[in-house]
Amino acid sequence: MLTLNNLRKTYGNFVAVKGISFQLEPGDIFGFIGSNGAGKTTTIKMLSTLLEPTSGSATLDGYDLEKQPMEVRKRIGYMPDFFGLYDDVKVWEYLDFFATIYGVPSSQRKEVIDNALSLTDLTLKKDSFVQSLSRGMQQRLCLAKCLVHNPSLLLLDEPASGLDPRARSDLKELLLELSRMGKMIIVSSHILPELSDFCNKVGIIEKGELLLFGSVQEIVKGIQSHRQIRAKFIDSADLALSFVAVQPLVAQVKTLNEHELTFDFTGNDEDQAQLLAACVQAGLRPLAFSEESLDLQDVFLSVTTGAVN
Amino acid sequence: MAVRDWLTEQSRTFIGNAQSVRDFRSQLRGYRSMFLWLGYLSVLLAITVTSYDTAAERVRSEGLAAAQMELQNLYAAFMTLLGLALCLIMPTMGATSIVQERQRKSLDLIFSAPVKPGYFLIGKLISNLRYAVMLLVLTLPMAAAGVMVGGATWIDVLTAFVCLLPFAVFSTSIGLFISSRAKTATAAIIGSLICVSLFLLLVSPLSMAMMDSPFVGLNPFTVASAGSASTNLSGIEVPAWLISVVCFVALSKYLLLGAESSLTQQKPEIVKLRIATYFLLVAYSLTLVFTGSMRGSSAFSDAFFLLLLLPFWILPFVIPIVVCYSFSDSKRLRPDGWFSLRSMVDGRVSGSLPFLLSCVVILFAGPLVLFPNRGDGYQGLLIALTLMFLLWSGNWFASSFGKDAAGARLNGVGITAAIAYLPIAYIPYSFMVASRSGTTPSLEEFPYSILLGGGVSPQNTIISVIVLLGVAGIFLFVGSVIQRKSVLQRTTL
Repeated sequence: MLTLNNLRKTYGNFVAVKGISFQLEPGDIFGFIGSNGAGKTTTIKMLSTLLEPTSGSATLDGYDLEKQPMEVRKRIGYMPDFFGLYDDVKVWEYLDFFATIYGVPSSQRKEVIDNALSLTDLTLKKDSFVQSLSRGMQQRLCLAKCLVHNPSLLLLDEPASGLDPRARSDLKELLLELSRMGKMIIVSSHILPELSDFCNKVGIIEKGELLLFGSVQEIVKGIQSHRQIRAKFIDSADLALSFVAVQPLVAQVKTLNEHELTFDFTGNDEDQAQLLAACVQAGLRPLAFSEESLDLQDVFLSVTTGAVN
Repeated sequence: MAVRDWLTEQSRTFIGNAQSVRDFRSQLRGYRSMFLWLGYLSVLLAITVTSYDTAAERVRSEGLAAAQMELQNLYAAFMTLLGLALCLIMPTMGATSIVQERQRKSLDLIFSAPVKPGYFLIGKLISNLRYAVMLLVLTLPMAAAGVMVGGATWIDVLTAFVCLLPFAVFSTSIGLFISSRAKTATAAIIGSLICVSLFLLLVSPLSMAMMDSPFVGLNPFTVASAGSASTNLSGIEVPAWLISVVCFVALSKYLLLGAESSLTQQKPEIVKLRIATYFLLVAYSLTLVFTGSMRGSSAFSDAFFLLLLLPFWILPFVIPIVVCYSFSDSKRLRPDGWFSLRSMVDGRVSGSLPFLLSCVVILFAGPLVLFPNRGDGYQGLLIALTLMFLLWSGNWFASSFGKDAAGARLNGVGITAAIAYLPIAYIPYSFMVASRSGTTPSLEEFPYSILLGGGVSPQNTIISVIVLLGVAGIFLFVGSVIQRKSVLQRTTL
């Protein structure tokens, strides 16, 4: 389990992270969302013990980040936003190097490397030089490096930046697989659609402050005070508008095009079903009648101001 | 159990070190090492051919004995060349090691793993030392030729190698230390070469003062004669090679601790570095006493003078790092009091004054124990303690201006250098007096030295202490006024 308690980092008068607190359980994939310079990388660096927090504390599986950094390091796999790869070694040599410094016994090293390569689909590239790998493969190699010592927490800083759509899809599958294995994963990104696909928890950070934390659904619910319904009719949307606008619990009705309209609805599921039935009874012939949910991008844009540190 | 853990950690660090294995793989794959060795062999070959040609010429003109003399000189030439190669190559290689990792951004990957910085540095050291060993091995055939023609014995060759290998460790450690702080490879290389040059400048008078100087093994250009040199310490004959091995190993360890501390800025590394500083000061103090005692009878006075001035050169770079702090930096660099003996070695701000004062006491302890009847030693200690207090207060004052600890340190370097380098004014002063009166004044006659207790007398000591404390008081008063304002501003904000 990972617990952050009011973690703060300042550089001189500059406050990079303003007291972040949250908790993650095994199997959680946490999407850390924020603009460039919002404080994501600083937080991840503090969690990886590379930066000393100015105040606050954090524990991983009961080990304090500041007091027991060696124990914490054994339990984390850190992948920075740059790969930091050695070009002049082979893929297996690169993993062997990290397996050795993470204290994997020499008798188990080969098996561990093979497993990491297999999980990241790099087995065929085992004897290739690192410099000959594509960017996607290098990124997977860096992830493989994070897995050689079987960590409980993976810290992935912008893992998908610069990857093509297929590589992103592969990465998503890999992270879901790792989550099923019980690993906690923190993924920082400012590319939101990819995060909402596989993160069960997200946090939005701006100017070093964690504005929101929770599951995507919880966050959307917290932001959305009412439902927004989108309806499509065979007949003219204007005809439907005049009927819908006078119904109870309905507000802000707007036509989108000749057959579609949208409106705010403050009722529950039962009320929504009754409204649909009323439309049918009034002879409006609806083709589609659904609640429009906000996505992560909408939430992000609504809670952040765009200000940077 | 603790011993077993320690042994396991040491064996993990020194045998099969992952960093050295990785570096070695890269070194073998690159062409750099091959070009280096080929170049070195070419130079050796050129010297051999030239010497052989000269020797053959002298056989014809002056006879066999003269030719043998020529070939005997060949051995000394090889050793000098080897020393030169080590002086240039090892610090350069050490200097690029960490900077390259930093530029490749792989340091974060290594330091987020459960390894101590010492493991990483030892790995770098071992991988670079392979070049030194290779250079030594390549010189063996030439050295053997020297033995065959009578220029040297196998003992000479062995002792020279025993001195050169620790020198290679030391010069690589200089490179690693500079590299741990430098931002670019060029800066690191230049800085390392300057440091090695300064070291050679310091040991040259020590090693060349007389033919059998006990410090002959410290200078890579004089190691050829280290075989026969020794010194008598309390009735025990200590060979020069042993002195050089002990000195180089101790200095290398200290430099590596410095590099560890600057790479991590963590408490355990700082504690180790400060405790090692105490040991180093004891060794320095004893060396000072030893060379000082030989001043009258030999040419050691230059060496003594250089050694005496050494702390003044180093102080501006060390004291700001120890003292300067900031209200807005990490916990360790935030002010936590004026004077705490418990924080003396852990790097906290409140421990800086007791640490500096204890350094002065340790420095004076050796001479005071060895020469208890010299009363001026205690006066010197009092002045040195007051001077250190002044330097501390100057850096405390400097911390009032810095945006952060790094800015404060920059100010601190300026203030400390201004105080510590004032004795340099002796040089123009001596020229001025010499041009007027025709005689060079002694250091004791220089006005500033009265401030430092020059020509120590109780009267001078009282003047020194009052003046130094007065200036320190001004620093502390102005500094506290500025800092109080700054804290008030912060609270208001």
